[in-house]
Amino acid sequence: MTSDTRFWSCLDDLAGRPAGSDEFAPDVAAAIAELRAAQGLDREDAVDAPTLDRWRAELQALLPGVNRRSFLRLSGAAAVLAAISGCGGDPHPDTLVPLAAQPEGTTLGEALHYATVVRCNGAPCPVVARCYDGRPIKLDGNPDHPLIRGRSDARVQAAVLDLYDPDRGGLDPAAPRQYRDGPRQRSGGQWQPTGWGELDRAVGERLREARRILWISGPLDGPAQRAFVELLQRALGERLRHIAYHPWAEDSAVEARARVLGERSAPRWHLERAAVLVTFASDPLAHGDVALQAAYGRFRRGQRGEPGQLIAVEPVLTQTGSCADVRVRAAMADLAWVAWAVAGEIAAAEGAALPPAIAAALPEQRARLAAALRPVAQDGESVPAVRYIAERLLAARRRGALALALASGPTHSGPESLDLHIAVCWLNRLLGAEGRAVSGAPPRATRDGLSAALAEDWDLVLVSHGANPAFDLPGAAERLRAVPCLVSLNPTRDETAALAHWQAPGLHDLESWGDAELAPGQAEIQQPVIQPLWDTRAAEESLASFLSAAGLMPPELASERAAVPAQPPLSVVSRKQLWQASARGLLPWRSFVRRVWSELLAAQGQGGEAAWRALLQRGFLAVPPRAAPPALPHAIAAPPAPASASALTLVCSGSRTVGDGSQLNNPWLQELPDPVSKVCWDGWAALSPADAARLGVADDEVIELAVGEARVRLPALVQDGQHPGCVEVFLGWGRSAAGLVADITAADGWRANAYLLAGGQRWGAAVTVQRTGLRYELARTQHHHRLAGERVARDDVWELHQRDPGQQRRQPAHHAWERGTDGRPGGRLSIWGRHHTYPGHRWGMVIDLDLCTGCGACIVACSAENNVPAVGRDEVRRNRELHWIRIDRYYSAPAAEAAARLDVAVLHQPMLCQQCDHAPCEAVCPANATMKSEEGINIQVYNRCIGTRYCANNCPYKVRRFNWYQYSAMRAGPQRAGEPAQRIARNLLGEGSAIAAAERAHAPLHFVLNPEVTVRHRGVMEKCNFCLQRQRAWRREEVRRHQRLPDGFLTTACAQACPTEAIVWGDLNDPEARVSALGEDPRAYRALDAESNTRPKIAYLAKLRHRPASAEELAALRAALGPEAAR
Amino acid sequence: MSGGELVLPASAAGAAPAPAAPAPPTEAARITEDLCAPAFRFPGPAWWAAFLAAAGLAGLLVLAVAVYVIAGYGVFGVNNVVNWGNDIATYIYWIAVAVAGTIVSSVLLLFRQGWRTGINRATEAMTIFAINIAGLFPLIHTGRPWVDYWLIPLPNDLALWPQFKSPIMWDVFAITGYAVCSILFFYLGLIPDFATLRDRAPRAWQRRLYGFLAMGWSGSSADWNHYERAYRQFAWLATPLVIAMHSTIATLLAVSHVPGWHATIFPPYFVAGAVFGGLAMAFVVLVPLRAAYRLHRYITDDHLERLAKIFLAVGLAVAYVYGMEFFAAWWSEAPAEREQFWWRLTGEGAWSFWLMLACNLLPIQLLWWRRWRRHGAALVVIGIFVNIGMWFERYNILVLSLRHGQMPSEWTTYAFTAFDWLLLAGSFGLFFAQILLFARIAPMVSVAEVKAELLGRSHG
Amino acid sequence: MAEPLPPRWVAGLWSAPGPFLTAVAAARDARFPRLVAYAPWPVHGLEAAAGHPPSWIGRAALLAVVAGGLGCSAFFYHSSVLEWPINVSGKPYFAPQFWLVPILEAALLTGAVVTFLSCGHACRFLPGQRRHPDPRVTDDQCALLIAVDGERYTEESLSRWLQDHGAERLVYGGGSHG
Repeated sequence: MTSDTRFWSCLDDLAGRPAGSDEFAPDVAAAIAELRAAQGLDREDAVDAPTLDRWRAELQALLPGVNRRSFLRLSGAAAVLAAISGCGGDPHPDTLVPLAAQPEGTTLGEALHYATVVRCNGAPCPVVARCYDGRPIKLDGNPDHPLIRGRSDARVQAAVLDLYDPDRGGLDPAAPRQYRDGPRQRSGGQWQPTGWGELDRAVGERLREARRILWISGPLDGPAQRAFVELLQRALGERLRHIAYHPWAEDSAVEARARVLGERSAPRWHLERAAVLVTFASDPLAHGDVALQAAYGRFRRGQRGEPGQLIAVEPVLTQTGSCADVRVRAAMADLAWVAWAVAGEIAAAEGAALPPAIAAALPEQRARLAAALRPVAQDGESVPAVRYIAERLLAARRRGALALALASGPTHSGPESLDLHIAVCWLNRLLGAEGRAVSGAPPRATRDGLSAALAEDWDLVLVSHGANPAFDLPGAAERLRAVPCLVSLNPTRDETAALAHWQAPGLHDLESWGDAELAPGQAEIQQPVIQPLWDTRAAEESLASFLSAAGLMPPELASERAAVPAQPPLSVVSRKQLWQASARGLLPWRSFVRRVWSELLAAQGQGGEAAWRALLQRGFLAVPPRAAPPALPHAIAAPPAPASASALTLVCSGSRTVGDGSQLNNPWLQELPDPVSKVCWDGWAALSPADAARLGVADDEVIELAVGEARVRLPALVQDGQHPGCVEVFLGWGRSAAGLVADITAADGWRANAYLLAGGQRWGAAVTVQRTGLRYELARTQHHHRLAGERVARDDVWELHQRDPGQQRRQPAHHAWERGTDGRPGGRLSIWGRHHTYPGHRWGMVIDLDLCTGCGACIVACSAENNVPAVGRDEVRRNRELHWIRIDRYYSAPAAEAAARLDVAVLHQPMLCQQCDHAPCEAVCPANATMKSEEGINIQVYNRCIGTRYCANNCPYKVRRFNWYQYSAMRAGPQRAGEPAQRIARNLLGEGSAIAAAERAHAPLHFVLNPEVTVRHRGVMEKCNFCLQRQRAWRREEVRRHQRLPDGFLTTACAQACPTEAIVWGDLNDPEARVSALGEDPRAYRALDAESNTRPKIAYLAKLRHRPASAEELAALRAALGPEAAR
Repeated sequence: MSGGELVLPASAAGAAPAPAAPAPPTEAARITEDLCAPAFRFPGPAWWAAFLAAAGLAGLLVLAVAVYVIAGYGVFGVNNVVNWGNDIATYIYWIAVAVAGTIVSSVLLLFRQGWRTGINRATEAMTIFAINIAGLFPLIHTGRPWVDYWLIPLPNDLALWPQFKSPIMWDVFAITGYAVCSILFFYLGLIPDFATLRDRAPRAWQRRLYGFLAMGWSGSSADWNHYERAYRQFAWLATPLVIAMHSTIATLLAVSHVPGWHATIFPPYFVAGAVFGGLAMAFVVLVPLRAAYRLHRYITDDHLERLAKIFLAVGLAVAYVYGMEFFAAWWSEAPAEREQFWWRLTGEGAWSFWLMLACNLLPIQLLWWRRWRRHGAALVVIGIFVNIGMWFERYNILVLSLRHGQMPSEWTTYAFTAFDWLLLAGSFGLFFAQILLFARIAPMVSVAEVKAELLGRSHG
Repeated sequence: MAEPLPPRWVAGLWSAPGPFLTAVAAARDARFPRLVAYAPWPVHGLEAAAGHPPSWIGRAALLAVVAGGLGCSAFFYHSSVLEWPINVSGKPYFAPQFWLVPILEAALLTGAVVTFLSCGHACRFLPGQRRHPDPRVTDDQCALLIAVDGERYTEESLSRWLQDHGAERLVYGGGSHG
């Protein structure tokens, strides 16, 4: 949504309906009546909590599965609840209003939008949730948020699927009619369901008695969250220690800033302010939050007409490195010295000083680096890499722009990266970037702090907010196993919860209240957009209940709690009230959040209902920034000289798709191909081509990595561009208790959890590689990696482009006469007379390859918007992925270096239906199932398609997708390895014929489906249609307003999600539209158009590499334009 | 009048003159006896063994199709890039087999090649049984075979018609037209023979069956007058139809954008290839049939030699086209075409290309020698090689072209699944089961025509 | 056009087509009121000997081909241009370039069907009009059947005539014998 549309609200329009009316479905009512009769309880009196718990279980057994209708009623009601409670109009929103009785002012089937927050990779993202009939189906960045600007990334897009994850509480496949939700107690190695009341009493007792309590949470950075932590700290005093933990927390960066700058702060990067960016084995594009990725787009667009230049110094090919203009391969152990060497050049040029220890060792190291690093070729000359980088940084300084060095991410979270962080911090200070292009913020979480804390003895450990140290912290599982009482409050039954004594399942972000602070001075409110799907309870709520049971309730919370009716009278027992009465109530926590935020609002002179409503609508608020705690600067020691490079060392990178691992059970993310390797559904070990050749290892061979005592097996992947001497593995894969989808991933026992390798050391551990001779076929969406000519994807050099802005080098000689010059479709050489014209809208798209980072946000956004199911690993292996948009990634290298595969340039190209004017697919469909809409869209009529697949054969872009099986009825495709016979048996017996059973087991996954988009049957073709439903919405709105709508009123899901705004969509008939203007850019070309005359409506803008041109390129330019052009 | 019954003199009143003495068995009677006897014999164990084996294979085809209809087309090895694989390759293969029969029966008829009478029935039967298998594949290759009938231009409540710009619709017209025409042609040729069988049949049910099939054929001169006109007329229709039909199959590929398909040489290429592959199958069918039914008198070595000459000629034409494809790819300067053909020679799929070349072009070189042209067993072996080669030709055209299209990121792989094997083997089973069955119920050599040919020669 | 059999008749049988053809030609010249020649295989020259005019099936087929082609074109025009014009690949609705092939196929198909039906009609392949000639006639021998009118052409005279013209056997048929 763009800033022009304000569809979301806090639903105060709905508040007009009378409160207290109790309309619930006949089946629920009948069930309750039956239940009451069976219990002999038709007296109108209260029942106790255990009875309610039992009732709830029985009620669920009576109504197996949340069937679609009842679910819609319930969740439809939930939205009203959220909104009304959000509005604060009714402090006790007992009015659960089924939307089946339509409240005034709302239209069933029309989307409502709410601003809220979801957390991915430990970082919050302010989002707007699009809800239909009370169920959120799509998340997008909050367009008003100054740092987000409506952007999002793949994990944010996928978060809505986590909400509906059946493993949180759906029917247990092992025990039909049994739900997996609700609190549990472990007794004798078995998990027993228990009641919330019982849980509260038991944990409360522990809480009262325990002397040392450790509360491990995920990052808690919102004002209310922090206030809640303080509240608990006050209530429990010294006995409680709270640690906000995240496995990617940048402890060493904080330490480095403490030593260099004297403040304990985590760096916040402002890429958009930089003109030159040097990254050191860091992947902000893959691991940074949405704000950082969005900032990259602005950085890349550049200032004053010159795009930002990105230089990556790294041993492994990161996603950021794949976007880099200049990529310098360097061993991980050399990085700190590279940074110091660059700093040395700058210090020399600017007359500044380096730390004495550094200055002493630098000359020797500089000489070593000069030999180790490949020089940069510049018009026939070889410039040493360090000098080139320093020159670029200084050049930016000279023209008054900012230059920035960056080291961040999961690879650099450990102490082994401290030297690098120090060097980078020093370099930034030298460059004047500190405080401008990089600033400090209070650290959100810690990793090593928890390692240290766990070494102590604790009587009670509480784990909440997704912290999962048993999975991602080495040694934590052993320590937690030894804890006398471990309580998990996580929303999922993860590895830590598996060790717990009590499980009190928490809420998904979209179900609960909360808040966040994305950046200092910018706080976001999180409101629930759906009533909790399962018998779960907010972690804060649980903690408060424990305190209450322990008699330690702080008065602030006690007052909130007192306001909630403890038990509802039986006369109004409804399913809703049963659920509420089972004490998951959001109310005290909600009230607390509201009180904290009211104070924040009051501090800004706003108050009352209107301000609160406005806040909920807006979703965020400027708050006074918090200062980071000061620290004493230290003397800087010289990094150790790297050991001889004979041994292979391990490099742990974060997964670029599934993230830190908390979203591993998400099929959308599992199926999202890695931006660099294009592998999905598995982790892998990446080897340099040089090492692979030496070891004799080929792709898909299972190799055994020995790191110290640990031995793990992983499928190998020979990664172009990887520096010899390192093996890259990925954090986030290899979970053992993430759920069914991840179990599919972990089915082969040898798949490794990289977090636990090398004792948490993220790089530098010596590793030996053994071949096993086994093969494991990684699921890859791309098999060929080199471009063949410039037909499809184009790459240009900034310097050359400056001299040849008209792209004369690229005009094929035969075009002019073949096409005519009037731009009329058809051109001169045509056997056809009159072609169709599109007088109304004519939708088109422009994709800037220079801005595309390959992240895949568009892919997941498209899946979410268009109900594209995941097809599973096996089907991906068979090249049957269903994504409507894919990102092709090409490696290129000068011919002399191509064979070595060590230095490659990478190009990402989103490829989707090109909506050709002369669509080859349309003419060959015998059933008229694909044709042109009156707005020029190549549309696919699913119910007309018989599945000849000729269209897909005839599509030169290969963007048409076929439903080989009934994928929409499967959770992650027909997931099994091996023989087709097995596949058939499973399809027939498991997922194919027993679709109804499968649906029940997968409920409520199908509630994520967008009701505006057809769910496709097996046997039909599908493909991108530029979000046809949004075009319809545009048209409806035009009809309503009797005027043409401005450019950007709506856009496609991919364009909306793209963090760097590489995709622009709009009306080609509108000369004012951005898409029209960008289509005229000299960089614009249309893929394969020259060969096939398909006339695509997608224009690509060639990538512009901000690198020095080689002698050959300059010679070619001279040849094309004459000698003066190359000046 | 009693329905036009001819009444035997024995049953007639004795007013007639004494009938002539019974004639000795004539040449015509001997031909009749030779060719019709198998229809009235209970089949022997060899036939049963062959038939059950073939029918068993055909059962596997049914199994594969049933599983795919229930579970999804994903049971086969095709994927998002190689959307047509085994299914369409086998389809074109069987279409080509069908072509040969028509070429023998129609084109040779038009050229008044009398010797065709020895073999035209068998090759036409091949046509019919191959065309029904071929017709099956497009129907079962769709994602939703239960709505295949949408391809028929039937008035419907959506008032939506099929799209006649689509080469698939051309195919529908071509296959339908060709199948209908072939079946009518075949049946027309069978009518006098059915009449013969009708009148010879020892059992009542056989008389009834053949009586029904003969549709009251009497053999009067007026009937022959019309019949022969119609028969020749069919040849005039079937000849352009078969060429148009197989050219249409070729245009199905040639009008597309796929490098390796998009070639103007395809229509003649496919027709030549079809005659080549079809004749290869004709050897495989004719020679064992001749041995099993002792038809050496009717299907002579001369027949084989003449067929082998045509076979060699079209084989060389096919070799020429192979060369021209590469020349055209090079001459076009279209990079995707050049890449495609270079990759076909050298890529990871090149084994099937070289296998095709070896099977198609090497064995037929034997046919330069008269001895091998007349050697039945050798022709069968060569025919089997060429059948393999021609199946791979279609496989290469389809799969290798699709695997290596215009989009480098989508250069991909293709592999058979177990169900692909069932489909392929099952189609052969179905073909041979039909041939075997037909050989039991009708003469495999056209009785009337062979009499006309043999007796016409001997008696002027 | 095959005719219904006369009430009474005499047939002569030949095993060789040569004398049979001579006999048929002679019978035609003798102007018997009704005669039918049967042959078990297509005897070359029989139509000429029997004096049949060239078959009309060729003309019918030609008409059918033309009609089929025109009908198919009209149908395409109607369905793709008039009734539901659909924008396919931006090309014009009226697309004869695309339609040539199916029009040709449809024309030939119509021709084939009409040829078969014409032949069936001409040869009386029609239900209820079965005639079952003598088995020996349809098998191996040619037959010349001449109607008996009881006055000018009696069984005896016709038998003699047939025997004179080389008939190897004679067969009598008709209601009076049965």
